[in-house]
Amino acid sequence: MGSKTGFPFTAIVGQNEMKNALILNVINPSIGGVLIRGEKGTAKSTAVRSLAELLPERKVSKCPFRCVVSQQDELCPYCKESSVSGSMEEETVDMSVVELPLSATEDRVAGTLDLEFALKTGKKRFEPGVLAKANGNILYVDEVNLLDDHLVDLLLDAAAMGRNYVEREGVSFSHPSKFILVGTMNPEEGDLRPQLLDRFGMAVDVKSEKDVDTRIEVIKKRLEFERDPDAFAEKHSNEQNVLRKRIDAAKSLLKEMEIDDGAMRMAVEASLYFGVDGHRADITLLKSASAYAAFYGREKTIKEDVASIANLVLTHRMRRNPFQESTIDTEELNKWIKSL
Amino acid sequence: MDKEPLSGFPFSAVLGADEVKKAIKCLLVSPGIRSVLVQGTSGSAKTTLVRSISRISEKKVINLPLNATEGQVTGALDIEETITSGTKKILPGLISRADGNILYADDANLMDRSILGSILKAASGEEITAEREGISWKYTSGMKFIATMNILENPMDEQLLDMFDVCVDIGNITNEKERYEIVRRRTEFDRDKENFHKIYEEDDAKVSGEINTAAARIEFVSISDDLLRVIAELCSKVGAEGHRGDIATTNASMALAALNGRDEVILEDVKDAAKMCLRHRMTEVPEEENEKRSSEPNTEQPDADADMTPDDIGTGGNDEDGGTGGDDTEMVFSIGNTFSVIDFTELRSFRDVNARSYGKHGKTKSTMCKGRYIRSRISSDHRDIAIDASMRAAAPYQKFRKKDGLAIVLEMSDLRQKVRERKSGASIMFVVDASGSMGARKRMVSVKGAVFSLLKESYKNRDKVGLTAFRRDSAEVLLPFTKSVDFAYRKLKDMPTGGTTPLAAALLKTYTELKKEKRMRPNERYYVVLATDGRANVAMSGGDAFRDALSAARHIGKEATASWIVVDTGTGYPHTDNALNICKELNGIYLKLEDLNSDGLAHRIKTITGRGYA
Repeated sequence: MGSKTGFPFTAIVGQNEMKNALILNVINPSIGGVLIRGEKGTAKSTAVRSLAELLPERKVSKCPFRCVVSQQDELCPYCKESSVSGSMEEETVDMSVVELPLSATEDRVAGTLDLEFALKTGKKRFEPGVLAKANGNILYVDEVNLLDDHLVDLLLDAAAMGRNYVEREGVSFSHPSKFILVGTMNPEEGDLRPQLLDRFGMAVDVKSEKDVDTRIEVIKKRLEFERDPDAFAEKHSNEQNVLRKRIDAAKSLLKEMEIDDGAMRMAVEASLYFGVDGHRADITLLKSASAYAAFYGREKTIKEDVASIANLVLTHRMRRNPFQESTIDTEELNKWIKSL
Repeated sequence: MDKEPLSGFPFSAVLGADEVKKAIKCLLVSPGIRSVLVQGTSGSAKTTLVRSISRISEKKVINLPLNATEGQVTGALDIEETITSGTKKILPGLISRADGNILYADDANLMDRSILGSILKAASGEEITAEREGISWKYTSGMKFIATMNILENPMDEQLLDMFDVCVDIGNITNEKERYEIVRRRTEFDRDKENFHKIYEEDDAKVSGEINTAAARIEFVSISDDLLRVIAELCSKVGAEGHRGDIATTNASMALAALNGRDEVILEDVKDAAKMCLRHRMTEVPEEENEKRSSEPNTEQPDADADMTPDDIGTGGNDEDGGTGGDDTEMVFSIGNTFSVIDFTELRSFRDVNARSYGKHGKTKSTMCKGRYIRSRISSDHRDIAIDASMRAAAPYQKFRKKDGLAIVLEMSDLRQKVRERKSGASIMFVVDASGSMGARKRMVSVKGAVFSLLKESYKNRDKVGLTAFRRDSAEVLLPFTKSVDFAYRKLKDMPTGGTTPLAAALLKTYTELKKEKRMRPNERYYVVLATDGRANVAMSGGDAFRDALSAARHIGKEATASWIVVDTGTGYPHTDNALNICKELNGIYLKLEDLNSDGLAHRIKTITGRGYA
């Protein structure tokens, strides 16, 4: 069986917060990814996988790591070499969703000695792993809270440096590894390590739809999809195109984005008010708010934009104590937003 | 049909198990029903029935051994091919080989979680990505999946349970006549298989025809919006999380309609389908709703489907606790002051149960191809190959080996396997006495405070925790072992206090729970923190309650299943030595509630443990 038609993003019923969080990250990859927490069977994985169809194009080098040519200091060893000799080649590819399965082995995540090459030529060569494929793309970890600690360590290192350093099996190598980290998890199965939780720019909590009519809509869409995936995709292709274009437009708007002084003030106030440590929250608030403004076609980020995305950015950072009830926090947040 | 000649039992000759047969038919008929879980006790013909599928269908039943490795299931590097040809070859796993057929796993609840997860994802049509041992590939499989589990063994992970479209119970036949008939058929089958098959050939052919007709019909079956509404309402009423329940029920209803020769789903189909699809997805009805239901009966369901209450779905609901009857008052105490606690996992009990595996973060050697690669070893097991070490091993012989154009020639004897190390955590079961005596002078407040402090410590160490409470006449596992300390906290917070003290029952319950867990994960270190004042007053069988508890403790103390830490919550006057005596029998560590506080009291623990009273 080859590649099969997936469920279209725009056909997912409800779950607007989750969809928004994903889209905003695509518009502005520097937001830092999103953690989707929620009940089982709530289309978490479906949403992330279906994002692939909406992703924009990128212009990158032809090397296995898809280096961005303009980022000279971050090139991989191959590109550095060809950059010196002036033989660097570029091509346009779609951004993609790269999956990190729980069962992955360390060598496949970080990359390792190329066995085939070694057997054929007797020479050593680096074989890229998942962290290489993820460069410039979305790195998706399903059930991220169950990922083994030693893999989490690899992920954290790469995320912090934007680069993957490999020193093992007699190979010494480094290459760029910048990705949008997207994780899904069911909180009942275990907590996420605090360091990893901090890495996520946003977090959303999803629940199944309680409204009966919406539930019926969910069943109908699913049945229709299962009956004929291609026809279903065709039916939604228009919506998909519109959304894809809107994301592209937002990406270009973002380059010229102006941030209103009121918005900046509000971001700082929000972080201070909720006692969030460090400046990462302030900055992420503004990045997300800008992406939000751009998605709505505006050239200026205002304080309402910050208010609209505040809960996505702040909820998971407010829980300084692991046993604090997050629902209370959310209520407080909403109250605070309303009071403005 | 010549695939399974005469070895298998005919489908139609299996007596009873109607629901399982129905589920199997749905699986064969509907493209949307892709996985079935069959629950039952051992020896209830689960396997016989599943194997007999090849008598009524073209599909093959492919067996998945319980000890299959990740590589065998999802695919792995074909080392032999790779070495002889010099190019990487993938040896497809059972999931790919079962494409278009049925994969069958016995005792699925005992399988490795991540392997079962991959299988269920593949069965639901998801693309599987594998990144293992030097190769990376993606595939989908058109297989279907049937699994069985013994309900007396460990429960299945809820996330995985939810991924099964259908879950049915095979039931037990207690009718004497039917049992006789089962034995008779079996004996007859064993004596003369050929003849036995002749008897049921026609019946099996009929079932097979029925399935083929239904499979052809199913794409024309429709369901009305009204019935979809019934399904959606029912699912939200029984508290099914997510939407898989809704979708599975709809698909199963349509399959049943097709099997009954109809093009239109009727309410009967929905009812039957709901029984199969929602049993394993029902969550407990929250307590407020219980009260609401008893105070205002029958006001909530005016529709025609009023008889479709959750109780209709087989397992029934809330027989425990029986409302607020009885004279014991019940209260929920808040969590008292917390403090930093001593590291009790460092303490040793008087009989050192598993001496070398102690320590805060014990390391165990991992055998699952997971964990950090620390060194290599020579092994006849050719999984998880250490490439560097293997090449080094082959190097000296290169001169003498026939090259065939390859630069390096490896032989099987060169292969080295990776030795990996993986952190093993501690699993801690908190067993809390929630009887009425604990409510006196708000003792429960400080006990909760103490347990919470211990939970906080577990959070830092990423231990697994569980919570068991005992009161009235039984002990209840409020939370099986989980990594979500947060969840344990919430359970602890809402735990009510009141009633009598069934200490013996609590000890035995905890013990069986631990045994089960240990069978699944033998490498973990197990601890039990028992918080009680030891004033047992409910006996197991009408005798003396405390003596019962002592003998239970003695029984448990003889085996080194876990390290027990008894926290004596008895404060004030008169003080009894009950908890201490229980602790002695358990071979455990005895601490008083106030000893747990690490500030300035660590030395006392030393004196206690140093003195010894075994």
